[in-house]
Amino acid sequence: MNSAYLWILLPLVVAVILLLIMRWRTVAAMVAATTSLVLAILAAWLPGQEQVVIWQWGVPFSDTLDFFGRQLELSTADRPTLIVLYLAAALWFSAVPLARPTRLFVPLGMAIVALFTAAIAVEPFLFAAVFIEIAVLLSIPMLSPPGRTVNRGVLRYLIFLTLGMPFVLISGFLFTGFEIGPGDPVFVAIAISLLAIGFALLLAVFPFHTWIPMLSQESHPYPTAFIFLFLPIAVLLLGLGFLDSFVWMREDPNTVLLIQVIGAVMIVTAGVWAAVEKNLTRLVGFAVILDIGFSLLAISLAIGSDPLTFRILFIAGLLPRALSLGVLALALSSLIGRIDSYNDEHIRGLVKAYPVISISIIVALFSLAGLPLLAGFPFKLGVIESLSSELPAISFWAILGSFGLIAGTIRMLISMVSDGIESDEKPREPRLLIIFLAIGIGLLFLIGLYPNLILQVIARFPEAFAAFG
Amino acid sequence: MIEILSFPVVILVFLTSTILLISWDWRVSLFSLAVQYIGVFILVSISWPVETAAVKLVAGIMSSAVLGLALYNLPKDMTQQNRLVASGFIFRVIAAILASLFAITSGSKLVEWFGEISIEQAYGALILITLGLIQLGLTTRPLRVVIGLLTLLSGFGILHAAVENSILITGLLAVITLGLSIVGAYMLTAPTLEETR
Repeated sequence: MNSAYLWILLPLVVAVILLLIMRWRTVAAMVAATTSLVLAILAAWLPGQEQVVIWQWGVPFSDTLDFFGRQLELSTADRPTLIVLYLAAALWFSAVPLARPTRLFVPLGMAIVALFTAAIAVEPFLFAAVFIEIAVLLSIPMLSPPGRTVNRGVLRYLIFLTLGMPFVLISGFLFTGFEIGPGDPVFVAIAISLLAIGFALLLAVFPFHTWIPMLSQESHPYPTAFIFLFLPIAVLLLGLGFLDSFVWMREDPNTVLLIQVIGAVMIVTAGVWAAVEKNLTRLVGFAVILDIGFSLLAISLAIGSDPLTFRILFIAGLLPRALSLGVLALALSSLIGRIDSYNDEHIRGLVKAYPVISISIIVALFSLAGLPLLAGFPFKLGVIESLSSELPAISFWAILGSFGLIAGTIRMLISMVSDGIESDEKPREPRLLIIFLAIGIGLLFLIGLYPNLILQVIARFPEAFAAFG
Repeated sequence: MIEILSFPVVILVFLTSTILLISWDWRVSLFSLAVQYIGVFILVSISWPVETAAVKLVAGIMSSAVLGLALYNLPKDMTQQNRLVASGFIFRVIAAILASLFAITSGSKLVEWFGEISIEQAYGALILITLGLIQLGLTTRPLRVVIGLLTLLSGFGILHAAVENSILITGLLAVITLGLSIVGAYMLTAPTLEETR
């Protein structure tokens, strides 16, 4: 038995099986959700030992798999990330019958999660860029399903993500040999510039952010939000890999400052655009950019003053994001066919017609903005509070960006409660959808009120943060 | 032997990538793409053993074939592209020449930074990267986007070959080349496919 077989190969095999049974959408979704849930439970439960005892048999268990001269390693340190990844995947697949994205979503989604896991596992870590690119290629058919012309958002997404990969690869190879200390300053400056461009493309940093709102406007909300959740996780973990490997880079105060400035720029630009946005799905795109900005700030703190706390906070912050995006994606997907478009003039009267869907959208957006009592709040508060003591200017801009998203959400809420066009037919929300959304909203409030529930699970794995404690 | 060919190959990749920029016929474009991969193969062979470099050639020619098959099976009205107007043609040719001049002036700098790379490889890589970027900036058509990305990745492939020789990464980059062409073929044929909703 090997951890790579369990969390990479098995989901890939399941993805192939799902491809064969995708005709039965509900069955495929349940198989994918169950597999993901089992893998998340195994990540939490399976001890990180050389031998795993199953009933009375001792099964040898290894963390490392040799793969064409390189290694795929999923140690106990990676367990918190695995829990978050597969728990989020289970959540996503379980609501597929309600959201009704393309049938390709479940098998391709499963394969993408496996590839992102491979990206976390591969050593040397910079090969992760290649796995991320393969996952991006796999995601195209679910973002642009058969029977439709490919939209500009998908093309731009493909271009930017494919452009980012070689920049990261080349800079990674240039850094080889500089693990302990930097070499020629000019050479290092070039390598760092290439790396910064690569990550700016992969993380949708201004001015390479345009694909996010375009994609969220033009593609189905469910697979789009899936990509918005998993892709930044994989890229941010790749970035952490760089910082972990090159100690001098991590300890250079300019690195911390650069990440903080980029994070603040993302938050402010997203906040400003969100405040004036008139399309609901584009607003979700800006909310995602804002959240990535906060993750960057958390990473900057994780390599700065208090590494242990902020590393935990970074991982813990992923679950509220998954939950918020999941609720948003499901609610927005359920509006397909019920409204003409997501523009503000077409969502007038939505609260009256579809109260649960409307409330879910607003609550999830507020959670992403970091409104108190909701799941996103504790994570964002932690980041802002710490920044305010070190760099009050950055913390001020972060708060301002969040206010921008809150303002944009309030504008959408005003449109939703305004009188809309009356229809003869009484609109109806499916009962199962109401149950799912109600659970989602409930969890958003629960995590907001008791954030320790997540932190305790994540902090159970001290090995994950040992290097930083 | 390979070194003798390297300078003519730089001219070859300039010609093929310029043709890719100006041609409106997909047959000409895909033929140029396939020929371009021969050039890439020769430039990569300077750093890698021929048998390893052949992976790039095989993957590239297969990519051209995949795109060609997809386009061949499409209705004619979906594959026809308007001829470039004279001003557009002149603009693209001038852009290609300027980009190549940039590549030639910056090539020596690249050799200075990378060390292991030869000047011909630097010229070839920069020509492909810059012309690939121009291609991406001038189009919103899936075929052109994929050709632009393949051109750009070919350029990076030459740079990468000079600094790293890993079997896994060579294989994975070949998978990406093929994957891009399959995605391109999918994007071209997607409107004609049956909806899966």
